[in-house]
Amino acid sequence: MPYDQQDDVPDDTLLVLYANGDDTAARALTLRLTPRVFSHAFRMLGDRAEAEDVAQEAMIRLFRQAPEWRQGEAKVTTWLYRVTANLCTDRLRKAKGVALDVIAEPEDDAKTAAQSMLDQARSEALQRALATLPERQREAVALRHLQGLSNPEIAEVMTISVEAVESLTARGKRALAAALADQREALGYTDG
Amino acid sequence: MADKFDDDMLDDLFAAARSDVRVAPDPDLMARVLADAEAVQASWARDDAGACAEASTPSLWQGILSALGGWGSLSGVAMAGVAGVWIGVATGSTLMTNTLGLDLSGTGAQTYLSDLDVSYALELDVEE
Repeated sequence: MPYDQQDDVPDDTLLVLYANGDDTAARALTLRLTPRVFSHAFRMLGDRAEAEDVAQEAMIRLFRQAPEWRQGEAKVTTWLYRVTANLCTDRLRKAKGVALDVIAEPEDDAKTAAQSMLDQARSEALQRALATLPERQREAVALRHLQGLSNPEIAEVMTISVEAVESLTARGKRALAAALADQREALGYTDG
Repeated sequence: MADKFDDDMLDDLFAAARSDVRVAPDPDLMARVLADAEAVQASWARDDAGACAEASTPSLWQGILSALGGWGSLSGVAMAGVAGVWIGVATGSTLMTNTLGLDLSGTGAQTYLSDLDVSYALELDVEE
Protein backbone atom coordinates (compact mmCIF):
# COMPACT_ATOMS: atom_id res chain seq x y z
CA MET A 1 0.00 0.00 0.00
CA PRO A 2 1.43 3.42 -0.90
CA TYR A 3 2.60 5.52 2.02
CA ASP A 4 0.27 8.40 1.13
CA GLN A 5 -2.61 6.08 2.01
CA GLN A 6 -1.01 5.15 5.34
CA ASP A 7 -1.83 8.02 7.63
CA ASP A 8 -0.31 6.18 10.58
CA VAL A 9 3.24 6.39 9.18
CA PRO A 10 4.79 9.36 11.03
CA ASP A 11 6.26 12.24 9.06
CA ASP A 12 9.77 11.69 10.40
CA THR A 13 9.69 8.01 9.44
CA LEU A 14 8.71 9.00 5.93
CA LEU A 15 11.57 11.48 5.88
CA VAL A 16 14.08 8.78 6.85
CA LEU A 17 12.68 6.47 4.18
CA TYR A 18 12.94 9.31 1.69
CA ALA A 19 16.58 9.93 2.65
CA ASN A 20 17.24 6.23 2.02
CA GLY A 21 16.04 6.62 -1.56
CA ASP A 22 12.43 5.45 -1.21
CA ASP A 23 10.50 7.20 -3.99
CA THR A 24 7.15 6.22 -2.50
CA ALA A 25 8.07 8.23 0.57
CA ALA A 26 8.88 11.21 -1.66
CA ARG A 27 5.37 11.07 -3.06
CA ALA A 28 3.77 10.62 0.37
CA LEU A 29 5.62 13.59 1.87
CA THR A 30 4.68 15.76 -1.10
CA LEU A 31 1.00 14.87 -0.94
CA ARG A 32 0.79 15.15 2.82
CA LEU A 33 2.76 18.31 3.53
CA THR A 34 2.55 20.56 0.46
CA PRO A 35 -1.14 21.47 0.96
CA ARG A 36 -0.46 22.51 4.57
CA VAL A 37 2.55 24.59 3.65
CA PHE A 38 0.80 26.20 0.72
CA SER A 39 -2.37 27.11 2.63
CA HIS A 40 -0.38 28.60 5.51
CA ALA A 41 1.76 30.61 3.10
CA PHE A 42 -1.36 31.79 1.31
CA ARG A 43 -2.97 32.92 4.57
CA MET A 44 0.22 34.78 5.46
CA LEU A 45 0.86 36.36 2.07
CA GLY A 46 -2.58 36.64 0.46
CA ASP A 47 -1.04 35.93 -2.92
CA ARG A 48 -1.32 32.61 -4.68
CA ALA A 49 1.80 32.84 -6.83
CA GLU A 50 3.93 33.99 -3.90
CA ALA A 51 2.49 31.26 -1.70
CA GLU A 52 3.34 28.65 -4.35
CA ASP A 53 6.93 29.86 -4.50
CA VAL A 54 7.22 29.74 -0.72
CA ALA A 55 5.67 26.26 -0.53
CA GLN A 56 8.02 24.91 -3.18
CA GLU A 57 11.06 26.46 -1.48
CA ALA A 58 10.05 25.20 1.98
CA MET A 59 9.51 21.68 0.67
CA ILE A 60 12.83 21.56 -1.17
CA ARG A 61 14.58 22.66 2.03
CA LEU A 62 12.87 19.82 3.85
CA PHE A 63 13.98 17.30 1.23
CA ARG A 64 17.59 18.53 1.42
CA GLN A 65 17.45 18.34 5.21
CA ALA A 66 16.27 14.72 5.17
CA PRO A 67 19.68 12.97 5.51
CA GLU A 68 20.51 15.11 8.55
CA TRP A 69 17.11 14.61 10.19
CA ARG A 70 17.27 13.16 13.68
CA GLN A 71 14.19 11.13 14.40
CA GLY A 72 12.29 12.12 17.51
CA GLU A 73 14.10 15.41 18.09
CA ALA A 74 11.75 17.78 16.29
CA LYS A 75 8.39 17.51 14.64
CA VAL A 76 8.58 17.73 10.87
CA THR A 77 5.53 20.02 10.66
CA THR A 78 6.95 22.33 13.35
CA TRP A 79 10.18 22.67 11.39
CA LEU A 80 8.26 23.17 8.16
CA TYR A 81 5.88 25.84 9.51
CA ARG A 82 8.88 27.70 10.93
CA VAL A 83 10.69 27.66 7.57
CA THR A 84 7.48 28.72 5.83
CA ALA A 85 6.97 31.61 8.25
CA ASN A 86 10.55 32.78 7.75
CA LEU A 87 10.19 32.67 3.97
CA CYS A 88 6.89 34.58 4.22
CA THR A 89 8.47 37.18 6.49
CA ASP A 90 11.26 37.75 3.98
CA ARG A 91 8.76 38.30 1.20
CA LEU A 92 6.51 40.54 3.30
CA ARG A 93 9.46 42.74 4.20
CA LYS A 94 10.39 43.08 0.56
CA ALA A 95 6.80 43.70 -0.53
CA LYS A 96 5.95 45.92 2.48
CA GLY A 97 2.47 44.56 2.85
CA VAL A 98 0.04 41.75 2.24
CA ALA A 99 -1.52 41.25 -1.16
CA LEU A 100 -5.19 40.48 -1.51
CA ASP A 101 -5.32 37.89 -4.21
CA VAL A 102 -8.67 36.88 -5.59
CA ILE A 103 -9.32 33.26 -4.73
CA ALA A 104 -9.83 31.09 -7.79
CA GLU A 105 -13.19 29.96 -9.14
CA PRO A 106 -15.48 27.81 -6.96
CA GLU A 107 -15.88 24.08 -7.56
CA ASP A 108 -17.84 22.52 -4.73
CA ASP A 109 -20.82 20.63 -6.15
CA ALA A 110 -22.05 19.21 -2.84
CA LYS A 111 -23.34 22.50 -1.44
CA THR A 112 -26.13 24.60 -2.77
CA ALA A 113 -25.04 27.48 -4.93
CA ALA A 114 -26.19 30.03 -2.35
CA GLN A 115 -24.38 28.32 0.52
CA SER A 116 -21.22 27.97 -1.56
CA MET A 117 -21.28 31.64 -2.44
CA LEU A 118 -21.79 32.60 1.18
CA ASP A 119 -18.93 30.36 2.36
CA GLN A 120 -16.66 31.79 -0.29
CA ALA A 121 -17.59 35.32 0.70
CA ARG A 122 -16.82 34.45 4.34
CA SER A 123 -13.49 32.88 3.47
CA GLU A 124 -12.49 35.89 1.39
CA ALA A 125 -13.62 38.32 4.10
CA LEU A 126 -11.54 36.46 6.64
CA GLN A 127 -8.53 36.56 4.31
CA ARG A 128 -8.93 40.32 3.90
CA ALA A 129 -9.25 40.79 7.65
CA LEU A 130 -6.20 38.58 8.31
CA ALA A 131 -4.18 40.80 6.00
CA THR A 132 -4.81 43.76 8.30
CA LEU A 133 -3.26 42.05 11.34
CA PRO A 134 0.34 42.53 12.41
CA GLU A 135 2.47 39.69 11.04
CA ARG A 136 2.99 37.79 14.33
CA GLN A 137 -0.70 37.94 15.21
CA ARG A 138 -1.62 36.74 11.73
CA GLU A 139 0.83 33.84 12.01
CA ALA A 140 -0.45 32.78 15.44
CA VAL A 141 -4.12 33.02 14.45
CA ALA A 142 -3.57 31.15 11.18
CA LEU A 143 -1.60 28.36 12.87
CA ARG A 144 -4.19 28.01 15.64
CA HIS A 145 -7.47 28.36 13.81
CA LEU A 146 -6.68 27.44 10.20
CA GLN A 147 -3.88 24.88 10.52
CA GLY A 148 -5.23 23.44 13.77
CA LEU A 149 -2.00 23.47 15.79
CA SER A 150 -2.10 23.45 19.58
CA ASN A 151 -0.73 26.40 21.54
CA PRO A 152 2.43 24.51 22.64
CA GLU A 153 3.08 23.55 19.01
CA ILE A 154 2.67 27.17 17.91
CA ALA A 155 4.99 28.25 20.70
CA GLU A 156 7.63 25.90 19.30
CA VAL A 157 7.11 27.10 15.72
CA MET A 158 7.31 30.77 16.73
CA THR A 159 9.94 30.18 19.44
CA ILE A 160 7.90 32.02 22.07
CA SER A 161 6.12 30.97 25.28
CA VAL A 162 2.66 29.42 25.34
CA GLU A 163 1.42 32.51 27.22
CA ALA A 164 2.73 34.72 24.42
CA VAL A 165 0.86 32.55 21.89
CA GLU A 166 -2.37 32.92 23.89
CA SER A 167 -1.89 36.66 24.01
CA LEU A 168 -1.19 36.90 20.27
CA THR A 169 -4.20 34.80 19.28
CA ALA A 170 -6.53 36.66 21.66
CA ARG A 171 -5.46 40.06 20.35
CA GLY A 172 -5.58 38.73 16.80
CA LYS A 173 -9.15 37.53 17.19
CA ARG A 174 -10.25 40.84 18.68
CA ALA A 175 -8.65 42.69 15.78
CA LEU A 176 -10.32 40.34 13.30
CA ALA A 177 -13.72 40.91 14.89
CA ALA A 178 -13.18 44.66 14.71
CA ALA A 179 -12.11 44.47 11.06
CA LEU A 180 -15.21 42.43 10.21
CA ALA A 181 -17.67 44.43 12.33
CA ASP A 182 -19.21 46.34 9.44
CA GLN A 183 -19.57 43.21 7.30
CA ARG A 184 -21.53 41.07 9.75
CA GLU A 185 -24.87 41.40 8.02
CA ALA A 186 -23.39 41.02 4.55
CA LEU A 187 -21.80 37.77 5.71
CA GLY A 188 -25.09 36.50 7.12
CA TYR A 189 -24.61 37.20 10.83
CA THR A 190 -27.19 39.08 12.86
CA ASP A 191 -26.79 39.82 16.58
CA GLY A 192 -29.73 38.83 18.69
CA MET B 1 -22.49 39.16 24.77
CA ALA B 2 -20.77 40.92 21.87
CA ASP B 3 -17.66 38.82 22.58
CA LYS B 4 -19.68 35.61 22.38
CA PHE B 5 -21.23 36.77 19.12
CA ASP B 6 -17.83 37.67 17.71
CA ASP B 7 -16.36 34.35 18.85
CA ASP B 8 -19.17 32.40 17.18
CA MET B 9 -18.84 34.44 14.01
CA LEU B 10 -15.09 33.95 13.90
CA ASP B 11 -15.40 30.22 14.53
CA ASP B 12 -17.80 30.08 11.61
CA LEU B 13 -15.46 32.10 9.39
CA PHE B 14 -12.50 29.93 10.32
CA ALA B 15 -14.50 26.83 9.45
CA ALA B 16 -15.48 28.33 6.09
CA ALA B 17 -11.84 29.20 5.39
CA ARG B 18 -10.59 25.72 6.39
CA SER B 19 -13.04 24.02 4.04
CA ASP B 20 -12.39 26.42 1.18
CA VAL B 21 -11.24 24.10 -1.57
CA ARG B 22 -9.90 27.04 -3.54
CA VAL B 23 -7.08 27.42 -1.01
CA ALA B 24 -5.62 24.11 -2.12
CA PRO B 25 -2.41 23.83 -4.13
CA ASP B 26 -2.68 23.50 -7.89
CA PRO B 27 -1.77 20.12 -9.39
CA ASP B 28 1.08 21.96 -11.14
CA LEU B 29 2.59 22.92 -7.78
CA MET B 30 2.26 19.35 -6.51
CA ALA B 31 4.00 18.09 -9.65
CA ARG B 32 6.82 20.62 -9.25
CA VAL B 33 7.35 19.70 -5.60
CA LEU B 34 7.37 15.99 -6.42
CA ALA B 35 9.88 16.63 -9.24
CA ASP B 36 12.06 18.52 -6.73
CA ALA B 37 11.84 15.60 -4.29
CA GLU B 38 12.94 13.16 -6.96
CA ALA B 39 15.71 15.48 -8.20
CA VAL B 40 17.16 15.81 -4.69
CA GLN B 41 17.12 12.02 -4.30
CA ALA B 42 18.75 11.59 -7.72
CA SER B 43 21.52 14.05 -6.77
CA TRP B 44 22.37 11.92 -3.73
CA ALA B 45 22.49 8.80 -5.91
CA ARG B 46 24.86 10.58 -8.33
CA ASP B 47 27.07 11.72 -5.44
CA ASP B 48 27.22 8.18 -4.08
CA ALA B 49 28.05 6.74 -7.50
CA GLY B 50 30.80 9.35 -7.99
CA ALA B 51 32.32 8.61 -4.60
CA CYS B 52 32.34 4.87 -5.33
CA ALA B 53 33.95 5.37 -8.75
CA GLU B 54 36.63 7.62 -7.24
CA ALA B 55 37.35 5.09 -4.53
CA SER B 56 37.66 2.22 -7.02
CA THR B 57 40.18 3.93 -9.42
CA PRO B 58 43.66 2.85 -8.19
CA SER B 59 46.69 5.11 -8.57
CA LEU B 60 50.05 3.85 -10.00
CA TRP B 61 51.46 3.54 -6.50
CA GLN B 62 48.39 1.62 -5.35
CA GLY B 63 48.89 -0.73 -8.33
CA ILE B 64 52.51 -1.39 -7.43
CA LEU B 65 51.63 -1.91 -3.81
CA SER B 66 48.92 -4.30 -4.78
CA ALA B 67 51.30 -6.28 -7.03
CA LEU B 68 53.66 -6.69 -4.10
CA GLY B 69 50.91 -8.11 -1.97
CA GLY B 70 49.73 -4.96 -0.21
CA TRP B 71 50.95 -3.13 2.84
CA GLY B 72 51.19 -6.34 4.89
CA SER B 73 53.71 -7.96 2.57
CA LEU B 74 55.68 -4.77 2.13
CA SER B 75 56.03 -4.23 5.85
CA GLY B 76 57.11 -7.88 6.25
CA VAL B 77 59.88 -7.41 3.71
CA ALA B 78 61.00 -4.20 5.37
CA MET B 79 61.01 -5.83 8.80
CA ALA B 80 63.08 -8.77 7.57
CA GLY B 81 65.62 -6.39 6.06
CA VAL B 82 65.94 -4.36 9.23
CA ALA B 83 66.24 -7.53 11.33
CA GLY B 84 69.03 -8.85 9.08
CA VAL B 85 71.03 -5.66 9.37
CA TRP B 86 70.52 -5.61 13.12
CA ILE B 87 71.65 -9.20 13.56
CA GLY B 88 74.71 -8.54 11.44
CA VAL B 89 75.74 -5.42 13.31
CA ALA B 90 74.87 -6.57 16.83
CA THR B 91 76.65 -9.87 16.63
CA GLY B 92 79.73 -8.31 15.06
CA SER B 93 82.63 -10.73 14.72
CA THR B 94 81.11 -13.49 16.88
CA LEU B 95 79.40 -15.10 13.88
CA MET B 96 82.48 -14.71 11.75
CA THR B 97 85.39 -16.07 13.64
CA ASN B 98 87.83 -16.62 10.79
CA THR B 99 89.90 -13.98 9.18
CA LEU B 100 87.59 -13.82 6.20
CA GLY B 101 84.71 -12.76 8.46
CA LEU B 102 86.81 -10.13 10.09
CA ASP B 103 87.91 -8.87 6.73
CA LEU B 104 84.29 -8.65 5.51
CA SER B 105 83.06 -6.77 8.55
CA GLY B 106 86.08 -4.55 8.74
CA THR B 107 87.22 -1.78 6.47
CA GLY B 108 90.94 -2.14 6.64
CA ALA B 109 91.54 -4.95 4.22
CA GLN B 110 90.62 -5.77 0.65
CA THR B 111 88.73 -8.97 0.10
CA TYR B 112 88.37 -10.84 -3.11
CA LEU B 113 85.80 -13.33 -4.37
CA SER B 114 88.49 -15.91 -4.50
CA ASP B 115 88.70 -15.65 -0.71
CA LEU B 116 85.07 -16.73 -0.48
CA ASP B 117 85.19 -19.55 -2.96
CA VAL B 118 88.27 -20.99 -4.53
CA SER B 119 86.41 -21.68 -7.73
CA TYR B 120 86.57 -17.98 -8.44
CA ALA B 121 90.38 -18.15 -8.34
CA LEU B 122 92.12 -17.79 -11.61
CA GLU B 123 94.20 -20.85 -12.19
CA LEU B 124 96.96 -20.79 -14.64
CA ASP B 125 98.32 -24.04 -15.78
CA VAL B 126 101.81 -23.27 -16.78
CA GLU B 127 103.73 -26.08 -18.12
CA GLU B 128 107.28 -25.96 -17.26
